[in-house]
Amino acid sequence: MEKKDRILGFIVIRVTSDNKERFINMCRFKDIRLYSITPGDDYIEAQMAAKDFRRLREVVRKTKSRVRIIKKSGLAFMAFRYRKHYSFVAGIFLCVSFLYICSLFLFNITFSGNISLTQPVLLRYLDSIGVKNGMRISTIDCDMIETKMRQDFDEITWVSATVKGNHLYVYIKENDGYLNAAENLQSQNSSMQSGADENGGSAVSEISGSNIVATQNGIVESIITRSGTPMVKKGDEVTAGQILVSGIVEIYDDAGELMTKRAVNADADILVRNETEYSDTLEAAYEQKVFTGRKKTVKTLAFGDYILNIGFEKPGFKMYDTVYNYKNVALEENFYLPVAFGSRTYYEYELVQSEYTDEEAAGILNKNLNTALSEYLENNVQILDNRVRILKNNDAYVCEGTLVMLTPQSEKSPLTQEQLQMPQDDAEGEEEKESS
Amino acid sequence: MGKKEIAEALGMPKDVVLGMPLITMTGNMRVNVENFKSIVSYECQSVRLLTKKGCMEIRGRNLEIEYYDEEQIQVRGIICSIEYIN
Repeated sequence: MEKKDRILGFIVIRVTSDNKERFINMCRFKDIRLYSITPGDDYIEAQMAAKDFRRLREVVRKTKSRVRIIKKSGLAFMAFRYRKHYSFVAGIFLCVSFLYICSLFLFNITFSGNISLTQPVLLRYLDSIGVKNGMRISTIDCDMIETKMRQDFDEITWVSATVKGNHLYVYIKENDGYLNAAENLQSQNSSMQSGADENGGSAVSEISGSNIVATQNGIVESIITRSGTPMVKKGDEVTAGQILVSGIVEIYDDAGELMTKRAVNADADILVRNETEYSDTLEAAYEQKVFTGRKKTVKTLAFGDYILNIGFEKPGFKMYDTVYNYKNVALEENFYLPVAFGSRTYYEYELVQSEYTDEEAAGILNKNLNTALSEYLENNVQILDNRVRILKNNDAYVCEGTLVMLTPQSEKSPLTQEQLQMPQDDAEGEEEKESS
Repeated sequence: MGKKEIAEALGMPKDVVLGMPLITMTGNMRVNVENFKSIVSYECQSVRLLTKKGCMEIRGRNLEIEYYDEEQIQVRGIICSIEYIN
């Protein structure tokens, strides 16, 4: 049977006849389709489309059969059956109206392609430019969203916003290398600026060069200077804040006298060997969360921001974890309703006083140490020696010791006017004071 | 030269040219007969169909005519045998 007939209306008939085969053959010749024909002793039962029933009259007359409808199904019969149930009709009307109204508003926003920009950040941003769940779809300007997002987020290189049904899709492409590129550009600009200053002479009052200074005490392990004047050599002991490579380049004439001083951005690869104390403490006693296995689930219905609990409200546990699980109702992929259903499950637990075993404590402290070491490694610090030991001290485990490291030095400090001053200037100044 | 010879000479399918019944079975659960003329008898255990090659009988249990149209009929049930009765 065709799907349309099955939905609109079909009937099951019982035909009682001495010649049921003739009945079927005549139906066939008159193009009246019968389906699922099952034989009985002196009857057959069959399904047929309701619209063909009246056409059976001639067949029934000729075959002297009796036809009885034993079942009616489909929308047409249901509508007829409930025609006087006004609330039912009103319900259908309300349902259709509700769906229509829902289709006018935005109920879901999906982002894809975002890596560094998280969904809450983007949702807050869209909210700030007036695009949020519940707004009229007709007022959404996708071009405006695209333009504003490109303007306001430097990370975004391409964005596309489309509305499908009542669902807004925002496709984003981020430029991963953007920040690095920006830093490079900035450093290039500053070096160009310093180059221009060098060529343009000392008329510019602002000093653009910089020194490299030590960030911690230690011994210089290696130094390769590309730009600037090295102030230390391999094996020298340095203290934090000391200038390692000066941004002042002194230029001497043939007689070996100082002619001028130039400001440059000091650039060098410097490794300083230093020792850092590491210490971490873990209390042996702790409170362990032990789940009792008891849990309670409450079904919930959410209409926008309003959440309705179905059933009991309080879990009745002293201590519990709560797990939320919600799902938006969608009639189809792009047609969301402002209704979400789901559950809230409470898992009861008890706090039990426990004590770490030596292995557990060592595992936790080692994990913390490895995290600290990996942070150093991320900053290009080499660990030469790890003299950290784990000891049990009364009620606590202590992880302490010394880390021997090779730390690259790249901290810059600005040049001062005094550093650029020529020694003669100072002498002349003193002479002038004396004469006056 | 008869229709059969012409069909053979031209390599045309005989079910089309001669109106021969074409029977398709799905396991022993369903049989589809094309080019049948009419239903001769219909019971739970047997369905007899008139075809150009004579009367064909489908025997089995709980036989039910699933659907029919101008050209074909489909019978469902547990089919035991199909034979021509002369």
